[in-house]
Amino acid sequence: MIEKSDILKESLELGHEGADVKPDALEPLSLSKEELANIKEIAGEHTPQIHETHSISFGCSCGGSCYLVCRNSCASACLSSYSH
Amino acid sequence: MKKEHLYFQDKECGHPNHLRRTRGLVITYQCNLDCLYCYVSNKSDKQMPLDVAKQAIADSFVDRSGNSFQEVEIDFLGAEPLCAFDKIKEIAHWMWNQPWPKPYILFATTNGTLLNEEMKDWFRTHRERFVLGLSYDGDEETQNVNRSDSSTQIDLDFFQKNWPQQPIKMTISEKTVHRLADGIIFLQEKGFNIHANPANGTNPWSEASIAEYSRQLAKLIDYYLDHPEVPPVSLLDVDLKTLLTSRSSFENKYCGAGVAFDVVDVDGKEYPCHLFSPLVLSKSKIYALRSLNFHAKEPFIDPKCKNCVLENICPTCYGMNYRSTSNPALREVTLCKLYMLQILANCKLQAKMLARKQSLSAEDKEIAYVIQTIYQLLNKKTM
Repeated sequence: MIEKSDILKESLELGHEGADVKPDALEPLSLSKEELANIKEIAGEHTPQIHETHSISFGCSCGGSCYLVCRNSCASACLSSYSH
Repeated sequence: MKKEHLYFQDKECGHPNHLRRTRGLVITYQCNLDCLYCYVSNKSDKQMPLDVAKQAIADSFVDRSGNSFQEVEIDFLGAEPLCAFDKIKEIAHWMWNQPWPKPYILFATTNGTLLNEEMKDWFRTHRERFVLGLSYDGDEETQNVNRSDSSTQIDLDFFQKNWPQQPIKMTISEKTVHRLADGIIFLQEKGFNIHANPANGTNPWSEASIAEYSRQLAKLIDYYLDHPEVPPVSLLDVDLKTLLTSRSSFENKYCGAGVAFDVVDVDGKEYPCHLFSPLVLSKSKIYALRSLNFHAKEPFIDPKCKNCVLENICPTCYGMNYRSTSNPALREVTLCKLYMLQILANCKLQAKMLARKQSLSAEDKEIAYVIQTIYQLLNKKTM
């Protein structure tokens, strides 16, 4: 099923009140106008499919913060298959 | 016994039915280091008696919760587990000398400083059924500042040769954040996989340190663009497409503490995780947890995050949250800021990599869509 992704919903935002990042921290990670235009062109009119099958199926013991490291570093690399 | 060699089967862990039950044994409260960000508040010479360990292991193969699982992982925990090496060795041979109903693997995370030649020989011999993970924080200077001047006591090559797929656990502290990129590059050029994350449960970072974190991520981006043969560290290897996942499909919690994972303390008592155990918490804090249902999702939802686009993928540690705020749901604001920067860094790296591609797949377009949306939300936020 193709439909608008959740991430376009107007109610969503990046971060939350009280966790604002100062401009000098954002600056090194900004994209130039040309880079943003290029990304827009690549994305085009593409409407992404919602990946309903993705889920954290069993949880794990590291959570990206505990020192018990997932064998596959899946906290960042493979979150959608979070079962180890 | 081939089935025991789960370490190498883990490459297939993307299968949704590949369920592992992990049981941690707090084998000792001893540690020989005093790391900057250590959360263990009750170090002592306590060790787990052998009979307690054996019972805890036997129980781990019994399905009491109704969650079917296919394999078992036994993690030897400390403080520093190798303070109890002789006990670990005895337990391991006891396990290997008898049949068990499911495949299993043994694991311990170590600071690496106590490994002598006898221990190395033993681990080398059993490396396919006992995995040692190393905590190491970057280059030598960073390691020394964060982890008690220990760099010269650690044989990095021993870990690299015996468990090349096992990532190093690298903790990022505010005090050494200015060396983050150099530390990651140092370890990657030695051939290590690295799982890096900022320390939890520390004081809030200054705005200057947060900006430094951003500059370090930008330095890493440049490095990976210049060295396309080097896979990005976990910090810059987030699957952005996961943000396209319907939020409603994330039915389970971020961490399996108390569900897929539990811990047995030295006296045989069970806890959802070592962070909820007497190793870390006072008796009163543990007592206050008695009615918390770890199978429910609601007690672990942070209300301030409900509208954040990153909520589903943002790492959170319920134990550290509880230790810091007495509420397992409440995330540290510093970590929110650092994670937002991490996601922006992933977007920037991916954007630059997409720009280099000759032909684009549907997946590339989805990534571009996510990047575009993240920067739109950022603009909305900073306007």
